[in-house]
Amino acid sequence: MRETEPPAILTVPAEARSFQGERAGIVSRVLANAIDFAILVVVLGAGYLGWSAWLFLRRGASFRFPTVTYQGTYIVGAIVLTLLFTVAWSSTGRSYGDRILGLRVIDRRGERLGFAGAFVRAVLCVAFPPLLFWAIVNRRSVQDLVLRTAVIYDWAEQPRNTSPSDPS
Amino acid sequence: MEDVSEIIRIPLGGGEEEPVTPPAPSPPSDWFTLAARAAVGLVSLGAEASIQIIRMASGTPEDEENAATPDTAALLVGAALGLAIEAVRTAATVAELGRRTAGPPASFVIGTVSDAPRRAAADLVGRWNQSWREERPGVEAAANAVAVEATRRAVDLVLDQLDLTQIVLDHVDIERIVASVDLNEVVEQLDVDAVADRLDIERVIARLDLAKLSLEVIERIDLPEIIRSSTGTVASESVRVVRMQTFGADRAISGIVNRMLGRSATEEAADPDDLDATGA
Repeated sequence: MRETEPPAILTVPAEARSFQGERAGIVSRVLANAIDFAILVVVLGAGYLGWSAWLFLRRGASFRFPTVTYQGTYIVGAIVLTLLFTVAWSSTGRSYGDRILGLRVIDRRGERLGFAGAFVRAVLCVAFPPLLFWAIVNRRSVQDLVLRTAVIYDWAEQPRNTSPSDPS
Repeated sequence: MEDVSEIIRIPLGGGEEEPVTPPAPSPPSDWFTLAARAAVGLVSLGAEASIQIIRMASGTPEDEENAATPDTAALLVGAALGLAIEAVRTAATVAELGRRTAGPPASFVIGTVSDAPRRAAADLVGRWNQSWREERPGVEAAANAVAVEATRRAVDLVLDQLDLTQIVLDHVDIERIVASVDLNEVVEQLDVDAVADRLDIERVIARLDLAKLSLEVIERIDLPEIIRSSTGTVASESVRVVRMQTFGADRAISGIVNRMLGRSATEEAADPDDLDATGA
């Protein structure tokens, strides 16, 4: 039998094929970020509970819930969110919010971001969230313009059909 | 055998002065002689064949001694044939002599005396000819039927004694015949659809190892990966609805922004710093 490439089978639903690979709009991206933020809150709450449980085991009867400052929460939340984004964008190209909304972050070659690129983009996104709204103008945030990245509609599970020759 | 038509003419009278001229050929006598000799020859062949068959049937060995002293039957047949040949030769000579001497006066007398009977004979012959022409189709058909049946039986009899296949294999260069056939032209004249209609596809499929084939196909197209991708693409119907609605909202906002900025959707897509990959 000849060793040829098996035919690529498009697993994207029919209704989404027309815009597969297009840049995502502001609504999708805001919703995805909102989901990611909710996840961040859950993670922070879980972390707080875990830290409290650790203190309870250490202090026993003198246990009191630790006091959390806004500044400390912001710093910890920023760090956690940066880590979440970095891992998500460099591994699968999508955070959980992106996955729910069918989005994917790609670099200028249409490929998944490297770890460094994902980290820089995560830092910029976490540090300057309002810059996302430049995507209202041309569907690219300021971070995307700086790093030459993009967020696209991609309903496929694997990053297929994102090669330059594909119609999108 | 000596030719009976060669007659030696003896010069009479003046001897040397008279030029010797060869006699003019006489076609009727030649035909008669030729036919007689052919008939005698055929009879001779038949007689010899009959003698051979009788010998074989009776089991008499045909050795050199018997060949040197032919038996009585052969002797009598040979003598009869020789007598017949001599009689024919004599009859031919006499007939030729008679025709030359009595021919002209006889023809004159016959011509003057037998005019009426000849006409009657001509009429009779004409009637016979007419009768023959009327009966000819039926007679010919019957004769044809008899001839065809006889030929068929004879051919069957002969073919029963022959191994035609072996004869063809021994004497026919089949490869040469096949090489002279234009198989491409034959194939072009074939009705492939008709051949396909006659194919028993079920039997062909029954000979296949479908399980193994299916496994190979699944492996080639990586079906598990396709299933994973398909099921992972859309977790649930609600997610698909949310995605489509957000996509619609994206498009609506883009339309509003494009109208505010006075540009078309294609201009929005035409970003100078556009991605190489998405093209969006």
